[in-house]
Amino acid sequence: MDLQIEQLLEKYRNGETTIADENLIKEYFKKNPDLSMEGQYFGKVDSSRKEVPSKAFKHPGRKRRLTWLSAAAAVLIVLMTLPFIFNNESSQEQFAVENPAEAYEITRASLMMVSNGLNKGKTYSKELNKINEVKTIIKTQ
Amino acid sequence: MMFLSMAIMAQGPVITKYFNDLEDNENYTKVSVSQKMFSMFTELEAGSDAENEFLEAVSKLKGLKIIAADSVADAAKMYKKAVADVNKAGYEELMSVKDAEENMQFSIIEKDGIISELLMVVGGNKSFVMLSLYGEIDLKNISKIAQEMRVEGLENLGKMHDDHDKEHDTY
Repeated sequence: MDLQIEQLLEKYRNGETTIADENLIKEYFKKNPDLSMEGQYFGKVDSSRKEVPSKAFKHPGRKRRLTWLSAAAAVLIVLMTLPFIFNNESSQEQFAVENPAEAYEITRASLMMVSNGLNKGKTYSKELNKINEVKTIIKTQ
Repeated sequence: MMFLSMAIMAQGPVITKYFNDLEDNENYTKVSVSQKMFSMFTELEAGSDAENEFLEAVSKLKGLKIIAADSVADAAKMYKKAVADVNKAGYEELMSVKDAEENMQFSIIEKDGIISELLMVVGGNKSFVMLSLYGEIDLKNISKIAQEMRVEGLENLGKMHDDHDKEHDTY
């Protein structure tokens, strides 16, 4: 092991080497494989860089963009349906009766009105029948 | 979500439209009662046959909406327009009544024998009413409410005065 490498290793241990220094060390150990701790270490550092995982690696960036896209789509749908919901519910909600007693009175009065209306139709048809009866009586006389 | 909003629209499309159109018009009173309110009534105990019929009708309702005005100059025009809109919206005419004071039309939305909406439009000289009941509507049941009420009204005429006196005593 030459002196220069010895010195560089000393610097490496102290954390003072530059990238160029480290490359020199790596070069050296590549050319002179050696069974010392340092030799094995630098050999490993170099070879592990070239390792390829057995499973293909998918970049996570694309997936993230997809969720962003679906979020944007969801917001768009909400914005599109909002006017419908707003028109039908929110703007109508201001007329909703919140007081149960009041609601009861209104419902009761409404159903009475509808009920009376439905009965009115019946009495009308009864009266119409009476008119028809009278007409037939007149005709037969 | 789109379908949900369409389902909301399906509950009384005509009266919903009129609610929106007349939103800022102070001459027309607009009221809506939700199913939540109905469910509160059904906890009440029926004291009479009329009340029984009333609570039974209410228990199947999902909503009630009313638009009413009693002094609008264009009441007759409104009635005509409303009836035209109702017919255009695919409602089935149940019956219409005409007399000297007012016109009235009942229309329904029916599917497989079940009425899901009953829409009543009334137009007088200066008055206008549009009333929508939706949910499950039993016409026989609803028409009985007034009939029972009339019978009870006659029976209770004398009794009512007694009740009033009692109420005053407790105060």
